[in-house]
Amino acid sequence: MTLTEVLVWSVGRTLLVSTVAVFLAGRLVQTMDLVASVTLRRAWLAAILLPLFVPDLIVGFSWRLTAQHLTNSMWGTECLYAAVLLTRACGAAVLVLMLVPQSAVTAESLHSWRLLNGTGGSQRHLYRLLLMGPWRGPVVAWCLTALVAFQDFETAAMIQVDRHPVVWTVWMFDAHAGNQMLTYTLKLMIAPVVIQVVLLAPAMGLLLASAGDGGGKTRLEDYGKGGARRTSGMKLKAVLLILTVVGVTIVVGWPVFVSVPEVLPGMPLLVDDVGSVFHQQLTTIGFSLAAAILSTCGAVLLHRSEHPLLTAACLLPGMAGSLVLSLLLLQTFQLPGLRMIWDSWLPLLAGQSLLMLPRAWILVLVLDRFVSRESLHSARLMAAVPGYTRFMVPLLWRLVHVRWIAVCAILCHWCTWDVTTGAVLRPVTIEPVVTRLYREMHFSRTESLTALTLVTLLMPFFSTLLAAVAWRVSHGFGRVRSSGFPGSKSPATDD
Amino acid sequence: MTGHRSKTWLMMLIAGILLAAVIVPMLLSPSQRLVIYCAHDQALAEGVIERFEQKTGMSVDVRYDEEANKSLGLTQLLIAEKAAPRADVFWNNQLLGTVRLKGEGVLAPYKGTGWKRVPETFRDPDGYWTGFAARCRVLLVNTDQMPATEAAVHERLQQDSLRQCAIAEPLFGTTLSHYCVLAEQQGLEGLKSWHDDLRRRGVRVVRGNSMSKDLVAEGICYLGYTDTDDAFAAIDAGAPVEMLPVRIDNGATICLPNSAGMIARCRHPEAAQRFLDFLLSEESEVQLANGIGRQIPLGPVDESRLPTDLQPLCEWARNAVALGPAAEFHALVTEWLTAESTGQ
Repeated sequence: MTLTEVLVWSVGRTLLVSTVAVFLAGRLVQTMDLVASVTLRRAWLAAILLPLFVPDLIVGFSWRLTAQHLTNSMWGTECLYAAVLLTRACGAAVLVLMLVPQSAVTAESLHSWRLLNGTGGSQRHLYRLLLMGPWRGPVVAWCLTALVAFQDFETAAMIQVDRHPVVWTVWMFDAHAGNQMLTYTLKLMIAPVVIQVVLLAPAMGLLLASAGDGGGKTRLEDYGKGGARRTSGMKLKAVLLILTVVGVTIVVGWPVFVSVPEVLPGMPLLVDDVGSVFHQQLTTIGFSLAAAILSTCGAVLLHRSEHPLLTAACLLPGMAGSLVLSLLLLQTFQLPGLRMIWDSWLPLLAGQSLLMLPRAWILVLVLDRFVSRESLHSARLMAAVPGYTRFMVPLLWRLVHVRWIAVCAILCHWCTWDVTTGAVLRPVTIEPVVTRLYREMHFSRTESLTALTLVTLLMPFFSTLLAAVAWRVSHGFGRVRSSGFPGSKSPATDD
Repeated sequence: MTGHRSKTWLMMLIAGILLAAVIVPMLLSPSQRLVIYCAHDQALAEGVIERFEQKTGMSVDVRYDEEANKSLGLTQLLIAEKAAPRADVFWNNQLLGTVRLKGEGVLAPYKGTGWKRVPETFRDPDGYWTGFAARCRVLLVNTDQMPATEAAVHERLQQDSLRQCAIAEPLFGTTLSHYCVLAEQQGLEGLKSWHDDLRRRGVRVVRGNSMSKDLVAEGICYLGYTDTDDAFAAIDAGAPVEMLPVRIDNGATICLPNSAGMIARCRHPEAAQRFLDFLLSEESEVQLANGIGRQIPLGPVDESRLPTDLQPLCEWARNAVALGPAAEFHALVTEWLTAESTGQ
């Protein structure tokens, strides 16, 4: 199968999955809004978002036997893979729709434009208004969801989406595995990278054009609030609830069902090897956290940079995917001047940071565009007034710090579960836990595998919790430093 | 002011990281430790390496291969690091990659006591690599679905549909070695027609030998090509399976040894030689034979120390085809399979 055929297949799947995902996400967000009980609404939202945090490796491993049954069924394998992707894509789309502020363009203004359009008004302006208004959330969600679906590798490899059907990431891996030169693989990578840029472009355009439009409330902010909500649309609610249950079963329920019986027998195996497990967990967390912080800092600097070419150059390696990025860095660190640090942890840190940079940049962009500058500025001014400081700390925490911790936690989670950079770039004495998991998986040592997975899943959660508590304590007891968004300006200077 | 302070912190952070990256490896003095790149399963190799450490008092750092990398793993890494190698010894779980390393100038010759005890079929005449502790290519049969006899297997393999027969993707691992042997025996065209025939009849191509084993053990397929270590994993798990050796036209089996060699320009040549002598000794071969993978010893060993289910496999290994000539087809077969798989 040629690269063109593979890309057509991959893009086709991506377009279909992301379109269905955004459609479903839109209905889900609207329907969840109709649920009267706050607890039920939160539980439903958590269930939809949960698949985003189940590592691809685990999902793929859990479905590998089913995929084996389907080895000779092209459409069976495709449907299974698309279902897994769709569940994850739905979660991503819902998250984006929740984060993007509701439209500042009112229904009245749209109606007025439509009337004007009938009397010779500009169609282009109407579309512009729609894009900046009600279409903005779905378009941004569609782009990011498409990117998530297009970049998948681990799940596809595990459930053998490698021939008919096929996915470009696995195809690329196989092409390179046939002892191809790196330059040849890089040449092959051009088309997928261009496709990713094209997929991302509308979202970037809209996000960049939304400067100063941070005043609108996000749906997420409203989620904890009760109040009168309609209880109509029971049929739709039931259908969407069933879809949610099916999705969660595919990506969360089934892996848990398959793994739970193995966890208890696996724990003694981990206890026997507790020193090495502890060391691997700490190493992994350390690297992931450092890479998350570095990529966030890098993203902030790029965001403030006024050189789009420099930004593009820095983001491209990460967009090429972990395989190509790792191989590039491997070659780079063999150059005479850099050889001495090859056996250090710098290559791995550089690899993970560069890989995360595009995702960090998008997150930073989202935070910057949708932070409420007026609220932030007011909170900062108030915090400087004696007597008000202790009241403003929680507000600043909610407006600024908790968002940055969330960004780092998400990046940290992605770093932790990336196999390829760890496998290629780690020094001899360091082994990230995910490469060990992969080996355990290969040799079907499911008991220690599941126990180790559980521990690995919990580690970032506890680390983030610890970091959040530490940050809060340090800011609570110290003087409030209104550092806020590193790139933000006060409303007075905002243009 | 705030922006300035953030910048300063960021610069300090980056500078600190760069500094630590250079200093920490120096402080850790990795030059004091023997470094082994090991493509063999960690659970099996660890025991042998620990025993070496106990016996010699030397410290060893091991970098194991990740299945995630397949052939992108240690072989590629060693080629990339050729000018300034980190590793002293390469312990490969098969042979073809090691032969390739010899061709790339990555290995150094060493004819120690271990090299001398291994039969000529399984070692490089110049001492660049030595084979030991082998696996055989086998056909794993689900005994609930068909009898595990050569006649029955032959009959099934002649049927029009092979939809219940599995084989691993030949671009990787020991299936690639299997293909190279066939290419050497039948010529590349003969191999291609055999391969096309399997595909045409719908053989299930999976991503690894362990998956082929799983399909047979689960009863999804009645027959699958795999290796003896995977077959033993299924047998030990109580699956209704038996194995038969894969035989080429002249009746010879395909026996794929582990292989080991010293890295050229390595930092600890003496320690590397001591490790190679230990690894290729009878003691290590017996230890690997008694592991869950039941690796077949290639040098002379006291057979009473071997598990009983390994005895017939020793006979298979004695009838194995020489792999040296097959290694010459490696590049050709890989090139064809890559083109076949990627259309490039």
